[in-house]
Amino acid sequence: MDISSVVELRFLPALMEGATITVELAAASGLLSLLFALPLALLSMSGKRLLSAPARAYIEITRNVPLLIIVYLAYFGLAVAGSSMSAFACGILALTLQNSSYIAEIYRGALQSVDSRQWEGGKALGMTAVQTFTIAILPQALLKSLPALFNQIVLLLKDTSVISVISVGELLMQSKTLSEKTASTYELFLMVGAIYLILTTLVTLTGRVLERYLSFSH
Amino acid sequence: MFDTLRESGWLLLEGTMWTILLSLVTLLLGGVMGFLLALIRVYGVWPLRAVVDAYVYVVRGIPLLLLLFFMYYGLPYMGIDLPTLPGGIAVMSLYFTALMCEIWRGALQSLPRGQLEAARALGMRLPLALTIILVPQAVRAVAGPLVNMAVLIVKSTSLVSIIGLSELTMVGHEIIERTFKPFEILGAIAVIYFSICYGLSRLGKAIEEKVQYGNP
Repeated sequence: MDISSVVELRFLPALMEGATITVELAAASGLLSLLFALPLALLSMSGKRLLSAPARAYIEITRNVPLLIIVYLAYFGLAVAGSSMSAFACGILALTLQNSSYIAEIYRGALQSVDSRQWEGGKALGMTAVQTFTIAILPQALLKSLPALFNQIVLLLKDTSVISVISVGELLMQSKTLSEKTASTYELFLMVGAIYLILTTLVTLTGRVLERYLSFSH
Repeated sequence: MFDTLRESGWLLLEGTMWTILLSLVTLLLGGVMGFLLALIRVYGVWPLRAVVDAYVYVVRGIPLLLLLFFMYYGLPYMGIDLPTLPGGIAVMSLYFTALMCEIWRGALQSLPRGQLEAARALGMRLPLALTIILVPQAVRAVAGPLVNMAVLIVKSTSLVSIIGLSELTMVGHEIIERTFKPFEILGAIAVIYFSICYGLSRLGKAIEEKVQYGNP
């Protein structure tokens, strides 16, 4: 195995296409999860059983079932329901269903770690609960959850590989398709591994930079 | 719906057994190897430390499914033809070794440095200090996180169905192809995974709380 065969340039266009779809999957489901997770976290810690029980049930169910099963359920489910949703959209749906729960738990931990006396402080200043939450509590909680959030995005990026089972042409699917056409299978998988490593490292580094930039000591 | 489940019940049970077995072996092998690697990372000499660091970094940065594909489709081209079951166990164990190494490392590093220094001052060598002072404390700290890791392992075993290893998800797939009843079967599988994982999650949380309160 010499280096020229490890970096098989003829594979690169297809792999880049796959990497683009991987990033699109991760970015779309990441953003949606970050959004959905906030109301989910708030409902789950609302203290009113009528609101918190369904939210907790949703979180516990989606966290404790494999992503692969959620992908299959979404895929078969939508097909039977007669939806013409693409496999790509279906993948985003499955990833979002599970990651919203993971991120909701991260939000919940961060929100609970903000000193509860700040609520009293807000009240003393004549702020409404909504104002106290949006101006004082939420920004601190988001800042605290930043490391865990970026860690979760790395996991999400790796999880996109599971979407290959419903034939979405993301990075892993591309490499498998290519590997069936050539004999350079392991070189191919080494390249794909390197691409995943670069992507996850980029996310981790972005997280570190953002953390440092936003922290109060800056 | 119940007819399908009654007919497939034994098959699903058998698949569940394989899932549990695969998870246990992975947890055990990964837990022990992760512990050994963590010892190297915390107390080892630097060239070894660098190798372990690199290993953990690489494994944490790539998907498990890619490693499974590499084993299943790639290795035969290198002249290494592993049967699927040992191959799957090897890949799962090596992958979770890296993740569990991080847990052990965190636990070992969280112990006050003064303890090791005090042990040395009493004339103890590192192995003795480890066995009677440091590791027992680390075990308390990792118990909860390791149980939570077991949840991730159980969920991840579903991926070996993609390379054709027969466990719960794979068995379910076969039943679906035969009966064309995806919802009943997938629902039953989801309930089985949920029961195992939810139980483990609760156990992990309980242990974490107990350790927290028992160790002020």
